[in-house]
Amino acid sequence: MIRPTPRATPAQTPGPEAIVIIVDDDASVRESLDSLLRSVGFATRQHASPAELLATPIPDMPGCIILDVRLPGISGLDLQAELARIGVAMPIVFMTGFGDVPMSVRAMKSGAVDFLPKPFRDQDMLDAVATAVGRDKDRRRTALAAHELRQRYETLSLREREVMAHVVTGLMNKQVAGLIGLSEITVKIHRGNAMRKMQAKSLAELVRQAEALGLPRP
Amino acid sequence: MSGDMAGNGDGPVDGHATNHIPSASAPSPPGGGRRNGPEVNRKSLLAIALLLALAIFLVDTTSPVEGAVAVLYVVVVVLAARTGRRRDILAAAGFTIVLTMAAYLDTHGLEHAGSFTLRAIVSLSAIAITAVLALQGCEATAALMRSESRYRRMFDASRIGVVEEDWRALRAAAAGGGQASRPGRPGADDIRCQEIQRLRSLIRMIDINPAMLAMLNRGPAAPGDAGTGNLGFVSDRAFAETLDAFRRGEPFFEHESELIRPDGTRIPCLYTVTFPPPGDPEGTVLIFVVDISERRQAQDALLAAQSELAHASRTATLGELSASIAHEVNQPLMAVVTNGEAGLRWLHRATPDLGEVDQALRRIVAEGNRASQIVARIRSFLKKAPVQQELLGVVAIIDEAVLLVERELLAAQVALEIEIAPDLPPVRGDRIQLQQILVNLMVNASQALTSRNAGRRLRLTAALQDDGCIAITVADNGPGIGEADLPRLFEAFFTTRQHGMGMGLAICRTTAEAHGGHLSVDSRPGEGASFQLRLPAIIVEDAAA
Repeated sequence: MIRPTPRATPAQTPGPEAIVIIVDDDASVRESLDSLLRSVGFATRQHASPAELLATPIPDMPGCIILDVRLPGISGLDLQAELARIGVAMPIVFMTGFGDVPMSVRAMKSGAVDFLPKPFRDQDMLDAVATAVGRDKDRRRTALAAHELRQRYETLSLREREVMAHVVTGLMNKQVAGLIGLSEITVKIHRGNAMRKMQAKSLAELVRQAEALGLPRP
Repeated sequence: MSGDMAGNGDGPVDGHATNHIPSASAPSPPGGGRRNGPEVNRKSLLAIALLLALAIFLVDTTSPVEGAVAVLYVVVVVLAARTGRRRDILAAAGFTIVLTMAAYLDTHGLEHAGSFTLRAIVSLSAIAITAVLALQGCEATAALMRSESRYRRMFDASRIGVVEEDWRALRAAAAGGGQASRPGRPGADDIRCQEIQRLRSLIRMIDINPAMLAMLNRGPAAPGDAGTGNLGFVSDRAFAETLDAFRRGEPFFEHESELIRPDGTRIPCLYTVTFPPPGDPEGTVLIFVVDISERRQAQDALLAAQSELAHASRTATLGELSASIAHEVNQPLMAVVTNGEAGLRWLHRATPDLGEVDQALRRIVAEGNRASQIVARIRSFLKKAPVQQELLGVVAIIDEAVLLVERELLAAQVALEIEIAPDLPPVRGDRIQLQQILVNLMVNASQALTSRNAGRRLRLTAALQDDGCIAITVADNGPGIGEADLPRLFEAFFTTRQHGMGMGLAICRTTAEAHGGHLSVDSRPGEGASFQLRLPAIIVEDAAA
């Protein structure tokens, strides 16, 4: 079995803020997984088919999707591709009744967190779900930070953005002033405003933020 | 005389040939006595003839009687003819002609001719004519005897059991009665039985051949033996049917029945009874019996082999389904384990949630049952049981077959439509074998459909047709079957698959035919294939009718 991360100890109480979406055509499998996941504190949702999943909006909270590889209508792998296409970034844990190596490789390459052959040990499933949820939380945190940074950047005036763009390339205030035709003192004020608005404590941090924002070189 | 040189080509019929009768059939038809000691008989006949000839010669040469004494030689020729041998007749004729001539020469000499010469010529003519007639008669008798001998040999050497019986008394008695096998009122059965016994006792056995005796495991029997005669070797029912055919005036009756030996053992046999035409005063009935136990054994062996092969094919089919079967069995097992773990976790929480534990346990029980049902279904499909003949509902056969392949179809992303006409009559046969046909057809269709990228459809319909057959159709929208492959599709070892054994469809067709039905295919390349299984519907009659 392919394991992308070292085995993580599942969170004692992941909190009801995480949801697990179970997609399997077999009601008994869904029910049992549902019970297991609820017993350790996850919120759950069940779907009998990919179509049902796609027809329901994915809630805006951390979580993961458990998919059977063989599903009616469309295979789990195709569903994975479809979810990626429509922008659902929730991590996926696959289950399969057929220990199929090529299939698991493809699934892992497409970003699956784990590939569990049925029947699996419940601890393996809980570990895989915990890893997936943890990864989703990280992803959401990163996404959130990027979002906040972008919002801060939006508050900068055009001049401040211009000054920031030059400063992060490593130019001195005097050089920047020469390039954009301002006095050195004015550049210094714009630079101070930009760092305050971006909540950058140092020039190094401002450089990292510029990189995260993907600012074009002037 | 050298007439007793047997085997002489143009000689008379060899008396020994006609006497070649085993003691078993010693009671031969009238005239059998004539064949007893023919050699003695012949010698005495010839002796008498010789003496008579000499006596006539003496009278002819010594007595002064003016007359054609030599005409009396005719009696000698006739006596010799009694032996039935050409040689004897020729010898007698020649001998008497010589005597006539000798007497003539002795008495009259050659110098004169007169009325005595005419008398001599008349005598010679009489002898010659008698000889010719006797020879002709002898020839006819010989032909008759050859014919008799030929039929006797057929009767004796045949491997077919033959019994000859006299039904004249029966015919007289039966002329008044009704049909023997008509189902009677309650209580009438005994009367009918007695009637049949009585009618049987009227039959007199005339002859029975060795093959029949061997079949009955009996030694030589006396005629009229109650055990062998009177069709005693067939059951009362078979006899009653025979009697009905006799009464209807049919020329013969043929029936597959059992031969009952005196010790009670039975062997399957085919028996044919030929009745005499109504006007025939002889009224001899011939019964031919053929032992078909070997044929029956061969049939049984064939059935057993077919059943073995069908079993092997079932095993192979399930082998192809092994992945989906594993999945099917794994699902409930997995659910059991997961439910168990979930239940434990609910129980071990700081405040145990007994409602959830209860739910989990209920699901465990349900899943355990489901798993055992799946295993039972597969086991029953793989069971090696003798072929059953039972009334089966079409819906049940289809449902069980579908349960076996549902997973496989799902995995192959084939959409299955089922359409069964309501109130279908049942069919008769073996549940597993009929299921096997449907499973095979559906698995084949599913494999054919893999060449299609989307919209894989399989349609299963069942309906009653006008001709009283139930038609179950399995149709797919796959690539169809090539025109060149179509005629060979049901041949053994014909397969279009790389790893196929080519037995599946061959066995399916054999199975369908063993059920009195038929399996056919209709396909247009590119539009899919449609297999149709036709089985005779069994109309269950109301018990009161």
